Amino acid sequence: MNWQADKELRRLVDGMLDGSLGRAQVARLEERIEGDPRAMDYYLDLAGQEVLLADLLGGFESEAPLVRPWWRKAGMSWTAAAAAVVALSFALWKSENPVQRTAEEAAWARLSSGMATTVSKRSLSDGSLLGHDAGLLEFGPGLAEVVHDSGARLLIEGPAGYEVTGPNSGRLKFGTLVAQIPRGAEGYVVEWADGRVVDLGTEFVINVPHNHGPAEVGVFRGEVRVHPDGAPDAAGAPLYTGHAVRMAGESTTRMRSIPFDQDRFIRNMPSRELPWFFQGGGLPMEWDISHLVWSEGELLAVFKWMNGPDALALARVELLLDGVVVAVDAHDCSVGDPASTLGNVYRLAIPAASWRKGKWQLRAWPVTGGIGTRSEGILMVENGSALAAGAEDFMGAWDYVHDGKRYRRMFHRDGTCTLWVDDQPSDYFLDAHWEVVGGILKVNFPASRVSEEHLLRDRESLLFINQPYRNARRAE
Amino acid sequence: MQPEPQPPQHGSFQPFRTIPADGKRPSDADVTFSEDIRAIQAALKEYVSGLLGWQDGVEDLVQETNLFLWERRIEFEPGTNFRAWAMRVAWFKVMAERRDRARSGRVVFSEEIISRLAARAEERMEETDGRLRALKRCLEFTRVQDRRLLEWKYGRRENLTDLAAGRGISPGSLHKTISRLRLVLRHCVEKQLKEESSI
Repeated sequence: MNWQADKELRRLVDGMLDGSLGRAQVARLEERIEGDPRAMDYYLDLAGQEVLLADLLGGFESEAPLVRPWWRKAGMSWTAAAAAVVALSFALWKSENPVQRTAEEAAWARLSSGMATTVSKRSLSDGSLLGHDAGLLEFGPGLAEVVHDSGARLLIEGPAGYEVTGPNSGRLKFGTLVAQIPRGAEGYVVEWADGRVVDLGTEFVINVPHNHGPAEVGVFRGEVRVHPDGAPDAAGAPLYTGHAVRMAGESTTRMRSIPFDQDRFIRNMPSRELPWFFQGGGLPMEWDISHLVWSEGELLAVFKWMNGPDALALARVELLLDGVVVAVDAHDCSVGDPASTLGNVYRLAIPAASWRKGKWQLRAWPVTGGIGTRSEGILMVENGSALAAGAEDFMGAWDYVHDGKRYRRMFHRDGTCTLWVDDQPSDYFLDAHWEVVGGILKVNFPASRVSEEHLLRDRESLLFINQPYRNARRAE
Repeated sequence: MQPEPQPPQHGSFQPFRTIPADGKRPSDADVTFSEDIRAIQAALKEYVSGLLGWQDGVEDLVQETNLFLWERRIEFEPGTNFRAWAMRVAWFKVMAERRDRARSGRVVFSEEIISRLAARAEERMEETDGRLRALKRCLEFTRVQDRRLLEWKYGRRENLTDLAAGRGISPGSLHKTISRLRLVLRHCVEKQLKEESSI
């Protein structure tokens, strides 16, 4: 019969790996390990497994950001998209007529999405091309995503200053940059004032303090070469998965190994769409939105029903900073039945004096539901461009898919709108008119008191506020 | 029959595949040395993890070992046992860390047990690549919700207490699930290795 670890050994080994054992328990574990080679192998198996799991799962591809650059077709992973970009770049490079390259072809990178305010002299928005003339891009507090033509994807946390210096290189003046380098884009180089990092196929972070403090480099997975200025080693020092260094002029290698606090860094553009699951009762629902709140101003919390037999009724939504309520919008809301979805947009103002980095939460107080009540949906958290959108921003054609059918809705300048289903015109919008009120587009139907409502997350993404449809993309 | 050799898991890329930004071509010896370091990363991590126990600090210690090896690469004599040298360096790093932890009042393994663990860990090192391959395969068989939890704990390094609070369950229950998953994966790895060796 196979040997199996007993309860005590399992508990001791788990505790050792989690760092929760006391002195007496460690002594007991030592006894068990010394007394039985199978117990020792059991311990070594799990200790090894623990670190290998971190390696194998450290580079997992998390859910792709919902806001994709236009060239990322639905269903493509970002690595695949990056590979496509690399192939495209190569094709352009091989072009027979390089002199007549378009601005797009000449660009080295693209600002693909962001929550950070751009404070550069040049006005930038999602999709802006970044070539040799882009100069230093300065970002205010928030996140910005820059994708180089090589496929290297950078998530920059502001305040930050970054300059695109080539198709696969850049300079970080200050701030934090997390780089994800797909296959085919190895060799991405990022410089800072007194050093540079050469990537060898990896995900890494570089943090350059604004106050000229020492830069730090850490590797989430893969390998980089760090080249501090003045270091004797021309080949650069290798840095591997899970490791970090801080530049240290007094050291012979010009750097020192430091603990890598991976939680400090944001590695993916956070989703603005947070799930909710309502199962009755009057307890509040809460969401951590720390990575979505970067400045003072108005924040929209939009509740959208997706599934479930019952409607969700809310009475009040609060915005909290480190557990303290800083903004409240109290009004009745019901989401569930599209024909009766009312009041599902909550507006919360963050006063200038209240904004700072911290734990930001949204808390929604449901009206008590009956036993067995259940529904589920998403909470969309929007600010910035979503609230500033005017009629011009909404105009044009928008594509989406629902239940296997392809839809295109078009908002015309004269206030009318049209709908196509699988390329066939539909009379659904006959007699309907649209208007924009407070950043929200309302499609009004003469025979119905309920409008269909939309928000614009960015230039390319149209959200449905009270319909359970996926976001629509601007038609090319 | 032995299974087909697999590409190394730790970085499927080649060091120095691209020319460094300074345009200087690294020496062949540097390239080889870099590949040697890369090739032992999994074994080094298993070794340090086994000796330290508590996972906190394992990767930092491995990196210190890597940097030490790189800085002293000129001292390495080609043809001698690189892995043994690397493990020796790691051993000293672990002992120094143990001393620091003990001084700061943290609970650590005794020197004697660390010596025993080190001896056994070195014997097991030849099987590291097989274990890594098997573990990777086992993760593919993991249920979606278990895989997600593992990604949270090991990939994103989320705090289990916070994670439990977010899911509305007790931290104890999440710890139990992690404990169960550790066992399930170990069992699966054993099975995979047995199947491999019986082919």
